[in-house]
Amino acid sequence: MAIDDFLTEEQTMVRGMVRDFCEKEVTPRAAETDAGRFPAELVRRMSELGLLGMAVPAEYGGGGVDAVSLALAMEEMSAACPSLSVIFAVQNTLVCAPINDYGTKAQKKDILGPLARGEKLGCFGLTEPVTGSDAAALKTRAETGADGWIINGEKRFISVSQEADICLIFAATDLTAGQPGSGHKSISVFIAETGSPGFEVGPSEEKMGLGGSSACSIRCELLDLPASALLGNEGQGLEIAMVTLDAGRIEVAAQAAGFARAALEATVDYARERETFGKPLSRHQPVQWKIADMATEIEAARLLYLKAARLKEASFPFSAEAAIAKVFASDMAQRVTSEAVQIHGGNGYMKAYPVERYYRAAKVTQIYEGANEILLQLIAKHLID
Amino acid sequence: MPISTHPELSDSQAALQAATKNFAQNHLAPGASERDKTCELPIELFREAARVGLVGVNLPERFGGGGLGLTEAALVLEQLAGVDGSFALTVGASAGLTGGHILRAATETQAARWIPPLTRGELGAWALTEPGAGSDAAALVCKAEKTGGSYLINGLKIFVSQGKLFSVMILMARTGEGRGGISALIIETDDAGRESFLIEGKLGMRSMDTARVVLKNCEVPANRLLGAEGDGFSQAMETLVEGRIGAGAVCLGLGQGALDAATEYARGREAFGRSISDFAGVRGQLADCAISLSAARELVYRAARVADSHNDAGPAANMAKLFASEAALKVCDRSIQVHGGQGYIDTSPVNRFWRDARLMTVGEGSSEIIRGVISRSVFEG
Repeated sequence: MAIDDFLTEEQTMVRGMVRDFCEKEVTPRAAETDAGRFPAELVRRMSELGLLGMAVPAEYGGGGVDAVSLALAMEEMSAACPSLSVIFAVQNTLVCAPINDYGTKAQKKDILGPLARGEKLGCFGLTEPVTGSDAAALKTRAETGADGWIINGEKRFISVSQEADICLIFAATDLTAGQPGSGHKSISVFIAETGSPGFEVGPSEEKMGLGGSSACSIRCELLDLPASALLGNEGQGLEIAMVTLDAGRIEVAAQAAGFARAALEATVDYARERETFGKPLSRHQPVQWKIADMATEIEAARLLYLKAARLKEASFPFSAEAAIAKVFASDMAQRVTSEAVQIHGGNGYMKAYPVERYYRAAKVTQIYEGANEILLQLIAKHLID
Repeated sequence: MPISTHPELSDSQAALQAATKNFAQNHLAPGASERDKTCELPIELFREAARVGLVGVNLPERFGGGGLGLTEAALVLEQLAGVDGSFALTVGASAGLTGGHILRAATETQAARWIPPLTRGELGAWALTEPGAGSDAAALVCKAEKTGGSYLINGLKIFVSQGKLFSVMILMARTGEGRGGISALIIETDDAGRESFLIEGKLGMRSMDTARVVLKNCEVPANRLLGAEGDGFSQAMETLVEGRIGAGAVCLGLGQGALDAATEYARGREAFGRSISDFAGVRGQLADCAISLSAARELVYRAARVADSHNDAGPAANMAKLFASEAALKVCDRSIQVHGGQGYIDTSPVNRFWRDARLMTVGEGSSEIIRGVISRSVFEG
């Protein structure tokens, strides 16, 4: 029951290419990846296929695809393997995109190039132990040093940080940052190599889902960075974070749609086969009605992220639409994956079936890249003020 | 409002949207509350809407229509419903269901006779439902017997929109057994043996002309048959696909009308020393409504686009109607909540929007029936 999404030929082709890769290579290893194994070989394959810098212009080694194609690819990656989709999103949207948008020519050549070609992995260091949604209150400090910057502070829950070679570190360059009235101009972002002295990555957290992707604390202690490590201008950090997260929300929406779609597909297969009371589950009305709602809400989520991506591609404002897509899709994924487990009955609770993996993964989409409660307030600002 | 703008509207679609909004504000808004009380269909306003091209936008220009697509029809219905749900649904049922069915099934001669009155602002009716045949439409028993050069019709139709004031009515009647024994026939106002009785006392959609139609030895010539004998059921089901896109668009308008009213009310109302629109709880509820409507809007306009590209729009239309009707009802309900006690009073528009929206999960395919259809297409797909 494929309904036309009115994609361009290129968008359809990108989706087909990623779907093909996922079906053949990613899905078969999704369970072991989720069990806590970083999928190094699959990441290498992604780099060969150009999936680690998809939207970066070709001149820096990227694939140059549009925002819609990137989001469609994200849905495919997510449907195949939640952990791998995090690696995909962090690299493409949270690391490559801001360097491409705000980087100097030299930064693009020396840092974006290797990232876009998939030779290096990046991570996005914004969250801290006590600053999540309230990002502007971050405590990490950057002070001017002899020939650059000295960074001190702690980051937390940084996805892919265990494997990353590059980290974007958000830090206050104005020591009044986080104080009342200090405003948003006090935060800057720096490109750091994770192997530098003073950059220490802790062990990965034990997480509810996304087991194949790390989320670690990072401690910066007298981390010495050259002046050229600054991305954008001094004081532009929060703007860069917000712009990056706006685009990131399109990807989270696509991710949630992917989780939900995979859970639905598994459930449809299961409901066709499994018989109770002398007929397949698919012929029981309560199951049918759940399936109808699941399918409808997944379509709605996809249309919402496509809308936000099309607006972004056409250089229209898309902040509200991306937030709408993210909130709707993540709440939807939570409901849909829960119903998928429910329809599977006891089997759904077991790791032998894939739906519990999507159920655990879906929860985080309501939390990260803007908790839904925060995003409702962002949407309300557009609506009311 | 920026959130409701659609990136894929062309300039002419945006202009049509704006013109309709203008018409609704200037002509429909002033009397909408009053009509909700008097339960009167504003026939002069309907003619005026037809005169300015808002009735039958997707019917061919050679029959007086706008020659545009279902996307444009949906844009118009949404804007009309944002002010007056009854009026929007009258446009949708008259031009959309009746006009659309004739266009799909009639010969050129038949279409040239019966569509132009509809685009001029005369009313079309579409009679399918019977006391014992609602969701299970194929259970209808109204009978049309062929006797020589005419059909003799006997039966009872209920919940017929424009069933009293119509000029052209399509009637689904039984000419044989089963689904393949249902035929679609045109009834005109003057046909003897037809009597209509207004159904009084509806929860919402009160200024629609909803009637019970009694057919007692109503004899019509054989050239009133649309398509072939026995094709009526499948014609009706195809008509309902487009009908669901229109119904979805009406839902968007009802929800948006309620949300706009709630937003405006929240801005102006103070409690605990500040505007209630400053409270995160109220803001979150309004944002949640906007999210539901955005999702519904994408589904409705995608379904219209699928239909306009001449592909099977069934699955997309079913999803659009199911989701949009439930979203509209939820949004109207929340909008009453934001209004507090004021929302419970008849003079508040959200009260009317909520009552109007209540029809939409029932009419043109109940949510339950549509869920069954969607599920079938998922399992078979």
